[in-house]
Amino acid sequence: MEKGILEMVGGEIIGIVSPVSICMLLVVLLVHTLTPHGSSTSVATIAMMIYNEQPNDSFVEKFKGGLLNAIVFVCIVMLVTFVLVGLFYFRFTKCLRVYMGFSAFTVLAWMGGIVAVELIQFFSIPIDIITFAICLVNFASVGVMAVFFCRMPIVLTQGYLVVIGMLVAFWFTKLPEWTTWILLVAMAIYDIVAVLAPGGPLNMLVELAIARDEDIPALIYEARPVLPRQISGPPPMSSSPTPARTRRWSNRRAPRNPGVGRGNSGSNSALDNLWTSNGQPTSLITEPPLAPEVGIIGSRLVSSTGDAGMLNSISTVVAGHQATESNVDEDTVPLVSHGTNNSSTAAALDGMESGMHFQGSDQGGSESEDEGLGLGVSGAVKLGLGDFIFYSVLVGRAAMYDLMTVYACYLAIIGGLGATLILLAVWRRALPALPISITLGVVFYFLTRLILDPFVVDLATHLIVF
Amino acid sequence: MTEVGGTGYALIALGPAFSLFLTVIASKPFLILTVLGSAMMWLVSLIACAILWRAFLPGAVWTFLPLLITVVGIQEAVRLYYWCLYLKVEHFLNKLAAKVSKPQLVATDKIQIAIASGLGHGIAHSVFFCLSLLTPAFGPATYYIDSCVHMPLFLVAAFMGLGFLLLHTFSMVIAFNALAGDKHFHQLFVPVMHLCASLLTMVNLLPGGCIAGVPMTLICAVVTLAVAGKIVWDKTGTGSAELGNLQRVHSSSSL
Repeated sequence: MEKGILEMVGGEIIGIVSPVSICMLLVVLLVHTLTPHGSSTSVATIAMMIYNEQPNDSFVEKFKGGLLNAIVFVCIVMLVTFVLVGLFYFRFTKCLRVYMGFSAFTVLAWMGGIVAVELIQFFSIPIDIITFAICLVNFASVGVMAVFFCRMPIVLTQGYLVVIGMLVAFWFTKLPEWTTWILLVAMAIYDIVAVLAPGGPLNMLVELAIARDEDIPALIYEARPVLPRQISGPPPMSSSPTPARTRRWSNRRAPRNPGVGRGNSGSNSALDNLWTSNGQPTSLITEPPLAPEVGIIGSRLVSSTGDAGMLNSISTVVAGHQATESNVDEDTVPLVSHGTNNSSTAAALDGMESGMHFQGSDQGGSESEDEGLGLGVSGAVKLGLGDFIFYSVLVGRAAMYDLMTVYACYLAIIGGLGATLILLAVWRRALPALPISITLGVVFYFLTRLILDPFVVDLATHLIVF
Repeated sequence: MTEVGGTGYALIALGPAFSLFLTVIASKPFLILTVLGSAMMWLVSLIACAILWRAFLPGAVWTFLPLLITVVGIQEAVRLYYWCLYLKVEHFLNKLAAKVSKPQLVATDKIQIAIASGLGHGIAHSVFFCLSLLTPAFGPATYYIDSCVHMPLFLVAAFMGLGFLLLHTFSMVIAFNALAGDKHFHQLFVPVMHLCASLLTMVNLLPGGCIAGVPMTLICAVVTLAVAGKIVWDKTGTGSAELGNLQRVHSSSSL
């Protein structure tokens, strides 16, 4: 029987919602198992340079201290992002690449190692140090290679990205409560400014990448990899064999620059906390920027201090670049073509498809957004790892109160993500992925904790349901 | 009572939902999104109810009666609003289908969307009213409340969660069908059944009431299931005049 419309619509949204959900689930499980009531030892990080929250401080003090912490954090992130943009601008790609590899290795080996040790202690798993060391080093090395350097099955790459996101998010949940919430809100506000304001660092980064036809240097989760056009030169690293995309970005094809990353410059060990900055980068996810990727991209920097790592992340949603050439290049015929649409229905279409992927050209608004339907071969939604991390931090922090807040925040975040994807389809430009979800998440958390929880528990313990 | 018990309770409450999800919904991304969307809408309506009644709880026992009536009223109003949204989505999907030369939505598609919406409501209900209580159930002990010394709280909550999950899921099917075909009996059936089922849970307030309350909830669920089943059977059975509507293959048309 012919497939109906229901099988087609929405595939890419699910492709992004699933890994986000898995990452959140893993973080909630970790938090619930290891630190159900928050971390007992405070972790010295950059986010706590100014104010170290104590449980018995007054409300005003905690609020002011948290605010200061958040402001400092955001400033540092901003500085580092500007450095990254500078490095990208001056094409220090080798430096960025090494930096990226190093940072991913640090996250997987060191943070992963600490989490693994805590789990081993909790479950009393009998394992000796040598086996553990070998396994850990192997795990981390394969991870670095899967994410950056080699062609591997896409599931492995995606899995490692989710693990990296989970580890960093778990690390962030060790921050004290007030600082965490204010930090989340501050990062959401910063995200809006960085992506939408003309002078914002991420805006500049996206425009540079578009202008040069290169990948944005960031760690990006992509739901579906694609192969480059056969016509255009040797395919870049890894891709799984999916049908060729039709091209987008621009006429001249810039060879993909794998491992373009950002990093922040150097380990300046100021003060006692050595912070070695790691960068995180690339859209190694392998594929050439053949199409004006509509994606959600996050760029990240990792700076780790002596005993804790912190991840600064910013997320953006990148919409397709509207090239000006004709709708269909002669040398690239879309595999699936459905006729042209005018932009109004296109917008409606995209609203449903959540703007997955668009064809580049925009001649008087007519483009064939058919690819967006997901029938197409072109591309999938890409979501920056920073988004994974901050969503998971929110949910992890909610898990420290009760599971009911977790469910409410989960639904809020997914709802916000869906709304962002719809906006992406409508606006077609880089969009920050954090603000809507984080706002909804924070609002739902406080509503649930203060109002819904007592209500439902009261009813349920009387066995009254509706 | 340990992980086994806790998992058991969770499966009682959510097992049918899980299997329904896997068989009907998981293969179609749009339906998964529908489940998430309707769960979120149910949550918003629940928060609205909670804001309304928070000041009165914990309160006297008689407050439960007006509470239930108002809350069911709010949820039924949300169901009507959801129906209006669904009409827009259906219109949009049909336009999209025409554009990409796929067949329009047929009866089974609409029933599946209705099931997905109902499942979203039901899963949200079960999760918030039952699953969120279950965290202590994974520990070494169990808990009985005063008015129900026969069964642990978790078991009763699991059964009620199951009952209401089925009720929500299939009353959405009935409601969609009734609103589309303008059948007044079924349109009234849904809110009335919902109200009855909730008011019947008040039996649980009496000492020993849960012995009667749990089976009554499950009976309501079964009745709803039967009515929904009959509707679907009529709509898609071999005697149905709409059989042609079911076939997407245009060549074999119809009755």
